[in-house]
Amino acid sequence: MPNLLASRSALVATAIAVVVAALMAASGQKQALVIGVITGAGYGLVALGLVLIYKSSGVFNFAQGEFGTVAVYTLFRLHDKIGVPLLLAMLIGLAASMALALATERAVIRPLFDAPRVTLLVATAGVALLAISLELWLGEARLRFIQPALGRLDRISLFGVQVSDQRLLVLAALLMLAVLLGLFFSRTNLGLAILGVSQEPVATELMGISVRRLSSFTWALTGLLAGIAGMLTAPVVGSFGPGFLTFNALIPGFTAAVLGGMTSLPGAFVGGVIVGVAQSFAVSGFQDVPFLKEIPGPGAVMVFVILVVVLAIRPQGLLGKAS
Amino acid sequence: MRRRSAHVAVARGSAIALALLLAAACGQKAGVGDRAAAPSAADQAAAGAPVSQAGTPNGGETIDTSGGSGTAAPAAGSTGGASTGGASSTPATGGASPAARSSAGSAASGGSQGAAGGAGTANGGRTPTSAGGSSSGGAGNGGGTAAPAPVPGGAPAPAGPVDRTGVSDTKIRIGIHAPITGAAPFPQNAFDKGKDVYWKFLAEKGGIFGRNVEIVFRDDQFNPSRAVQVCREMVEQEKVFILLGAAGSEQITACARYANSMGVPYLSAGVNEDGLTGLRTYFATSQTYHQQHSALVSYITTKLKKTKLAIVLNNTPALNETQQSITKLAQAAGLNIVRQSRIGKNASDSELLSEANALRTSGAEVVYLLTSPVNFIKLATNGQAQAYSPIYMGPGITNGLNIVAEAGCPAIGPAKFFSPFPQLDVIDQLDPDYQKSYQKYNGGKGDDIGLAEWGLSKVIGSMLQAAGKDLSRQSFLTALESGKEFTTNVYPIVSYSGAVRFGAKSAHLLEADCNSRSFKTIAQFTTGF
Repeated sequence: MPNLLASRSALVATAIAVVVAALMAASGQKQALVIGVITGAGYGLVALGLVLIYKSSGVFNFAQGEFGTVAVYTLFRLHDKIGVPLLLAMLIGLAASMALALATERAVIRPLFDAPRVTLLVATAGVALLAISLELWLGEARLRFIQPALGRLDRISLFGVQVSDQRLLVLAALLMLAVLLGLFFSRTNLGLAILGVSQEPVATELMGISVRRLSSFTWALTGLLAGIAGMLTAPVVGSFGPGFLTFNALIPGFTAAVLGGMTSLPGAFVGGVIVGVAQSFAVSGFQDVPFLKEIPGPGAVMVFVILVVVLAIRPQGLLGKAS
Repeated sequence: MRRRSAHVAVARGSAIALALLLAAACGQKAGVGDRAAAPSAADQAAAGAPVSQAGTPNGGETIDTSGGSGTAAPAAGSTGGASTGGASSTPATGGASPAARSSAGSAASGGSQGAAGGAGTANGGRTPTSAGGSSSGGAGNGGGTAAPAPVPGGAPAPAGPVDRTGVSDTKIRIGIHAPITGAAPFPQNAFDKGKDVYWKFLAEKGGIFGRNVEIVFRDDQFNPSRAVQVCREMVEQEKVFILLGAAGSEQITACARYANSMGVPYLSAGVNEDGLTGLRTYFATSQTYHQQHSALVSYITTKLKKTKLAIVLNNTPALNETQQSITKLAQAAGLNIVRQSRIGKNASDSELLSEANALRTSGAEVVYLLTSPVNFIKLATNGQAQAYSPIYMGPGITNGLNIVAEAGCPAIGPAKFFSPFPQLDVIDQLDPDYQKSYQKYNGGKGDDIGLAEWGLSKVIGSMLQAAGKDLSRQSFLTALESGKEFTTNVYPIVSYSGAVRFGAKSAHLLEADCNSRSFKTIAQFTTGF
């Protein structure tokens, strides 16, 4: 029965996506469609990390964006300032984001694990604010402009929109990670154990599985995902500063996670793309509508509209489980 | 079912908390409208409009931080009659300040009293009489100075007893706000290093009638609410004599309106005119956007010989009139406006990519740009990614800074921006003292942010000199309104009158040179092409 529900949800999501794409193409918004997909991929990457933590521990992690921003800062410092080779700097950057995630788990999450989820939610928000303060302290308040590692800008042209290598890389990374994580949770013992911990921690512990180790593993993994998200999206955006991922991608990423279903990893992928497309449509489509064109930041408004509508109508999201 | 409810509750709680957290963390960065600009009279009253002690003998070393007579909160509907101080007074002519208009009924009578030097009489009740109800209460120059002509629709004048807030025998305290964060990739200490160079240079030459200038600097975070907050802090806590705005149209408009409501002189580089016209205490030290437009349009038609123009501005109400101005002039010059758009102050990746793509599709050869440097660089980078490289051009203050070329090249191409100050390539010819002084006081080569501060300081210095030895806010405003020309050879020549607050005569035109990743001056003190 659950499988039937899941496949029906997937069918509904696919149908909605196809109808939206067809409508946009018919109304001359083909370019907005392409732009939405390539920008939404970044949101999907952030959403993956949010879903992973929520799926494993029921915690909404406000600090997700900052794990990624720390990775970007580390990479920038090491590569651009000190001259460490790019690959090595990237690995150290990813290690830094994983270390921050692990530190959060050990110092904040574990002591509060039995507290109400809202307490944990506020605690992760505290971690995010602390991380932003540290970035301000260490890296100044200024924006840093960076160039993509992959320089080719015109790899593909779709409906007149050129898609750069860096954007293709983000899209490919999102797709690959969503599939790999989906397989990890459905096909591996470790993945199933993590799910078991999230649903029945006491029973899982009685089965000889270390809840603490699994918790550490999950947070390290989400730190890794955030680091990848930060390193891949910062060159696409072209700049970063303190709070980069939190201010640029946390709300759209959260909306993508809710839209896809807070527990569905492929849903995070789908949600990210849908949010990106909706944002892009708002930016280009509202320009010619008398009242709507007055809205400052129509893309951001659209994200909130989606969030409210999904929470009101289908809180479990497109691909999430209802029970 | 229970688990689903838990999911939903957590998701909803997260959404609400997320929105609150981000609003707090961002300092409400997203478009704060004009409404935030002018503090209400109630706000001002709550902030504790200081009781005037103007006219206090200005002896000793201590800066007068009494608040002065020009600082009580105005409020529409207050009583107290027209100002009568000084040898002459100008009757009120209607039109209260925006702040006053918005707060009818909030009485603020009985404010300042005080015997002013010279012929000043007590000004019972700090009346926010509208336009220019100004009088110079025996200000500075021995009393009996002529009252400045009213500014139509202006705010209450800093009338009545002499107001020497922020001035002592040895010091003049000046407050500056600038968007160190939020608008451009400014190095954190760039403003700090340059802010005192001119004043140190001047101090060695005897200062301003023996007084040295002390600068109080605040970051407004490119946010109008924050700008009003820091301006209020500088006026009410730091007790500055005048306020200066370095850049950012919304922030300048917001602070100028606040300063006007408090009777504090406020000067900035020229930005929009909308929202600043009619403010009694506001003066632009360089051309406004509107004033730069005719030279800009003539450059496009006669030098660039292009015909297809797109207009892109930040989506802020303060720029509505600027958009109308450039549209009208471009159409009159026969330019084909192929696209007009407004982009969010903190535009997302998606928004900027969409805009770049739309500009490319429109076929615009020249893009008139009036956005923050951050948005400009990101837009140009997205344009380049779409194989679109138009000529970016615009008025402004900050888009011609070298940091923009450093971060934006090669995407910005040969971008051209008007500027109140020239670039470093010609400064040694125009004013050799700048680099020498910067080297002397900071131990390195001066940058263009320091040059912008040097130029602005030089204008202010000449104005303070013109106000005379017996410096007060009244004598300062009188000197500005006298029609005298202030020449610096860095900023354009500027002069004002009772009705003219946008008195600059020319501007510099800068062009990006991506080989050197810097801007060069291609026209100095130009009025047109």
